[in-house]
Amino acid sequence: MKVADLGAAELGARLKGSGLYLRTGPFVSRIRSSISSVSEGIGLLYADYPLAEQNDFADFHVGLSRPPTIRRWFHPQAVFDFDGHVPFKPLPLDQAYPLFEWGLNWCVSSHAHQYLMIHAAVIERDGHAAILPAPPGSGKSTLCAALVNRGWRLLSDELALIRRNDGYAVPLPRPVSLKNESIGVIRGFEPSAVINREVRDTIKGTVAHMKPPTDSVSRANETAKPAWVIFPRYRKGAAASLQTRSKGGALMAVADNAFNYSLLGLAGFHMLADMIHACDCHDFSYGDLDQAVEAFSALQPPAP
Amino acid sequence: MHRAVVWKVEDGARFHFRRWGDECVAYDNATGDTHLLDPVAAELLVAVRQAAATTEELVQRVASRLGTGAGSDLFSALESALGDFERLALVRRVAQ
Repeated sequence: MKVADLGAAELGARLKGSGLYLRTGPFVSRIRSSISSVSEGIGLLYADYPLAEQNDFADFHVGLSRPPTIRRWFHPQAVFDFDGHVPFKPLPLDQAYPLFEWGLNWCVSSHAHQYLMIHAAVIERDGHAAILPAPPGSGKSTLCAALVNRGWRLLSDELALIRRNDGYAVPLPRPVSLKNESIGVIRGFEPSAVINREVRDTIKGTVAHMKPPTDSVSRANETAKPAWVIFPRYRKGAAASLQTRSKGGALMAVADNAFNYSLLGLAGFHMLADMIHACDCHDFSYGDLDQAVEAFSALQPPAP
Repeated sequence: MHRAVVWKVEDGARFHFRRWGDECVAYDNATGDTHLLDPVAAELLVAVRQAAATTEELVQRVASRLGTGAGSDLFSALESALGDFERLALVRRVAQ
């Protein structure tokens, strides 16, 4: 059963009641909320996602609610809770949906240490995964959104999960986070893309989320072997340019972008070194998404 | 009386290396730090890990491993690298 099969009324009832048991990649989240924007966002962006059995095991128990303070009457807020704890300060109620997405990211990045977790987008084509690590502002999510609208499969726009036993990338396809100008850029690039309501004045500026392609959601059990590590950087007016990056430099940069590299210790070093060894590593600058798509289309997997 | 400085690595087995061409990455299992090393620095760390040695002895070892001459340029490069290594707690100096 999928979220879309529930209908808006039943979705809202589950969120307000015992919770929505949502399966995203390898995780099940139990989500509770009586905030309408959260229900609407989930209904729109997670329509294709499978539901786990109601009241089954859940990796993450999360809730979005309005704190019962006097502020609820003149500056209403939303608070995210995880297993009964509140890890973040409340945000304005209007930011409840982005807070839900950020909270779920936090749940994974703080707990899923069975994986090497890298702050990176991951996309796949013909069984080969491209890992796109980058700090905020590099154009990573914009590039990812464009590529998954042009035939690449979305594994994640935010969290690369590298499996410890074989080094494969495990999909965690979730809505793609877009910020500021990127929202209009992707609307123009792919008018059929489903993007939810823009939320302004967040800590990241104006944010919105793009629904992942249905195919990416339905193939969330298909892992992929990393073939490329590509560090994207948007530069206004720049021609698309792919430059080889040394493997040592790439390893250091990926380690800087990993959530739990230090925590995994020597095992993390060997995992990361094995991944880098097997991948072609590049810096990629671009100023135009069509050119970027063309450059990615020309990528050849490394020789075995 | 002048005593030559001897450089030493505590528990050489703590270092794990990966090499790609001229590049080397060393993981220090004692600290959890990862270091990107150029060819000279990589050979220096390998050489000092083999056995405690003076700077002059390390110059000979590194020159032999790199197949180059043990000239003053290499001496200067190793002195500088040893200072960096000491600051990073990769090596320590002991009196001979």
